[in-house]
Amino acid sequence: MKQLDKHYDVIVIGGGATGAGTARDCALRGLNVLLVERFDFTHGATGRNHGLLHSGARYAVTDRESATECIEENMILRRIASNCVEETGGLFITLPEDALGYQKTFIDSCLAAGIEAEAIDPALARRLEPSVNPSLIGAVKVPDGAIDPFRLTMANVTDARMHGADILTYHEVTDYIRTGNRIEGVVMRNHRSGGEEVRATADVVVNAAGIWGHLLAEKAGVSVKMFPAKGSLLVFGHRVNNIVINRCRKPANADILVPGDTVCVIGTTSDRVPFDSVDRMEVTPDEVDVLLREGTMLAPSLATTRILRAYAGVRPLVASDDDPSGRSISRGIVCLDHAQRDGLEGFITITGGKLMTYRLMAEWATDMVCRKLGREGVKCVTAERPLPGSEKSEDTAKPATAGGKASAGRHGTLAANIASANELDRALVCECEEVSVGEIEYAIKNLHADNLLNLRRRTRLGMGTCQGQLCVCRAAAILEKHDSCTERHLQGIRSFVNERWKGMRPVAWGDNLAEAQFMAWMYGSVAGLDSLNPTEEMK
Amino acid sequence: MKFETIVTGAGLAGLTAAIRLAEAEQKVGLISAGHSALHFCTGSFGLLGFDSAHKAVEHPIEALADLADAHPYKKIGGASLEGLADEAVALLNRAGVKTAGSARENHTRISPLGVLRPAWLTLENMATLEALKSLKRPHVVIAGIAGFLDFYPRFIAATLEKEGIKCDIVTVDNADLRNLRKSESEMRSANIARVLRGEALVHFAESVYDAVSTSEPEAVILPAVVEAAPAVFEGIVGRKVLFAPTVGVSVPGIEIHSRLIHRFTEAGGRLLNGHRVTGADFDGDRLTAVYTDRLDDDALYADNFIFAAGSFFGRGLTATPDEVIEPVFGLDTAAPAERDGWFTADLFGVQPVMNAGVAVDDSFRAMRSGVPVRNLYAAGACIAGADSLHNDSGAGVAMLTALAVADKIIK
Repeated sequence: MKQLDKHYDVIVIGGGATGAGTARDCALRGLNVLLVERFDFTHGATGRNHGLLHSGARYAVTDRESATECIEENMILRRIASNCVEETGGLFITLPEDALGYQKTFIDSCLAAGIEAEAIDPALARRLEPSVNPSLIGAVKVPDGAIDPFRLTMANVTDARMHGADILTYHEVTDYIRTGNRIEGVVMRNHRSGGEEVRATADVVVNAAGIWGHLLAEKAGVSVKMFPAKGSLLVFGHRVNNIVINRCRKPANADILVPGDTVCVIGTTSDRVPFDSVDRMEVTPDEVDVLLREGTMLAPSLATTRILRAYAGVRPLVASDDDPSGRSISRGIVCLDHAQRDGLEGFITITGGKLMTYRLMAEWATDMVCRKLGREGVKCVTAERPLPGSEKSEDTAKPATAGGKASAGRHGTLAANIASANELDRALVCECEEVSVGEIEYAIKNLHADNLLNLRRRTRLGMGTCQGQLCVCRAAAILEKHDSCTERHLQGIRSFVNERWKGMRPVAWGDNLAEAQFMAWMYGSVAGLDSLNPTEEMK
Repeated sequence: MKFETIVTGAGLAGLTAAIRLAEAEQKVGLISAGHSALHFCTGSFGLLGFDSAHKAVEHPIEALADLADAHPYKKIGGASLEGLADEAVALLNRAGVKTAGSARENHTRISPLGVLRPAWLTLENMATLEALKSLKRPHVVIAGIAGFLDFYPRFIAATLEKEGIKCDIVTVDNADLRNLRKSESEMRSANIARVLRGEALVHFAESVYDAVSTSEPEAVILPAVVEAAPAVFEGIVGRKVLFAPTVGVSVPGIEIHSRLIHRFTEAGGRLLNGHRVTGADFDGDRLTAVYTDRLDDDALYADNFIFAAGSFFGRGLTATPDEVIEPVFGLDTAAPAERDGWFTADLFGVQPVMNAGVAVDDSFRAMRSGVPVRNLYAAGACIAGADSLHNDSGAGVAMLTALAVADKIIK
């Protein structure tokens, strides 16, 4: 058992966008913060969604409050997270089988929520976005965009750390330290040291663990009724569209196609799933069929575009307190002071909401923390203050190399810290995503990366069209140089390839099956990794 | 154009059959789409590395008896296998591919990531565990190349040290390599091999000498990124030189491929390179002609045909979301029915779909609409029932089925 020396003002549980955002906000307001995550940052829903910078238009008709929150946060993120945002614009298209009458209701609702929405001629829509279904009969332009949730989360983590926050990944909260009706800290299991127990104390503990927050609340003896809703998505091998394409109808399955980096993503399905399945989401053949069928309605060329992989995330939907049956579900933010609600001091849950409103969720949670600590005086600055990497750069010199440009895109102004002095640093580890040796070293030293999945989330290593054919071994060798854990990193290659396989399996026909066979041969037979014992899934 | 035999696919299976037939003075056409798994072959061949329970096999010929009845080796028959295996070695030898190893007893190769694996044949200039253990003192120096990311001295050393072989690691660098590194993605095995020729090769050997001069070991392990024989180095380096494989495109693999191609054309065969078969004419249960994308309507006629286009990676087979198909001739395939049953969660475990392939009769004649095509034989990875990934038997299945089929045609 290990007891951390420092006593914290606040411990934030959860390394998704909300937890990272809360840790940052708390740190910026001068609090002593510990952020803990049971696996890696963005391991949950933050890393498994569209990457859509919602304009809010999707919710305008059905949920005005969410729509307004969305557009306000949308405009804030363009300012503070410019390096994570791509201003693509969005279209809501009406197809012949949809009622064109809905378009007027839609535009009126958008305008009422403060969302710019302009009907344009279908011919103009076809010119603006050549991939769009040419049979469309109506189109509305809205300020949708694309956002990179991995970058966004890491920028929050980095800023929190720069302002004094301590950060522990692979530390799972298993219990609380409590005295009477007060939570005074957490008991964690360190997955990286064979399960060692680690204790940390704080005045306030914030539960920001997404769907897993349900279980963490239960452990604290309070009930936050959440409903896991599985959403499946497909990633296509190239960027078919440059503008987000939505369907102008009541929100339904697979009606958003979002471009991001070199790929595009169609999603999502939405199905309630049992709690015991949230740690092992698999995309089913039926879901693939629905996504393909509906996606092709938005952009017909998807039918002939290679699908890179399929993945699924779990949204934490929250039942209103007055309706524990779960029939009345809100997508709004839920911020609970368990002292008021349940008589449990020192414990807050922040949940519901969505990636788009992570900053606002963090602000609410931090406001509540400050109230509890009696430090209401300090103002929240996260709506104005740019995230690291998104500051306006004085330096206008353009990086000369491909890897330099790509890493500048990924890390913004922080890319200046990536070694690129000589050609050994600049050598490319991953050609598809142009990740250099220097960038891998940077991620290992500065971004809490010590396995291949961490590196993928920090740098896009292995996310391109080849899905990690060679770069995985190269990156593993760099990791191994840092810690000499040869066996662990060889196992890591095996796990990384299997994690890719998990995404390919639901769509493994045609080119994907050929690629999978090559992977199995290269890594299994030729490199010999099939003789290693399968270990627990890499997280 | 008219041939006695047309072979589709110039991987290890297609080349083996084509060479055998050309050497028997047949008029042979070999159609190649241009890419082959051989380019990724690290210089070792497996006949049967693992049994069906994935236990390492020591004596392949003995262990063949335990394979499932549907396995292509079983169709060849135990008695002939040993002879064909020796014939395969002789054929490689005639092509200038010099190997060590035997079908009667596997030896131990060192994988690019340093994993020890059973192997049937290994190029005689590659480091095997047996070769290293036969050194006077168990101590080697592994020389990496500065900026070359696809060779893993530390992984290899970790394994060898466990086997009691002490390893020093050094890094080789010189002006030619620095020049190559200027572009951030040029430092790849095949590019290095292209640069390290003639004078640059001598410079490289001298740089290796400089890098290893202060270490004791009598043997140096270099990444297999030069086309030259170790003897060229040994004079300059003054020690025994062995190669170890790299990850990805493999210089020894490319060399094996080009030597086999050369042997085929030298024996009088006709290579149609960069051609893809697009269609075929059948007359009842006989295939009469094939067409390629580069010959417009000119048919290629032959008495016999060999289909050796590989599995999914080779493009001999493909799959739609619903079924495994052979896309060109419309041959029957044997595969699990539902996509749900194709896969398992561990890519490195048994994947039932990888066992799928063209259905053949006992003479390896391909089935079409339930009957064998009398003059169309299948060879290599396209044949159903050979779980080559799991058994590490791809090279053996390729060469032995190819030789078996060639023998049937010659008779």
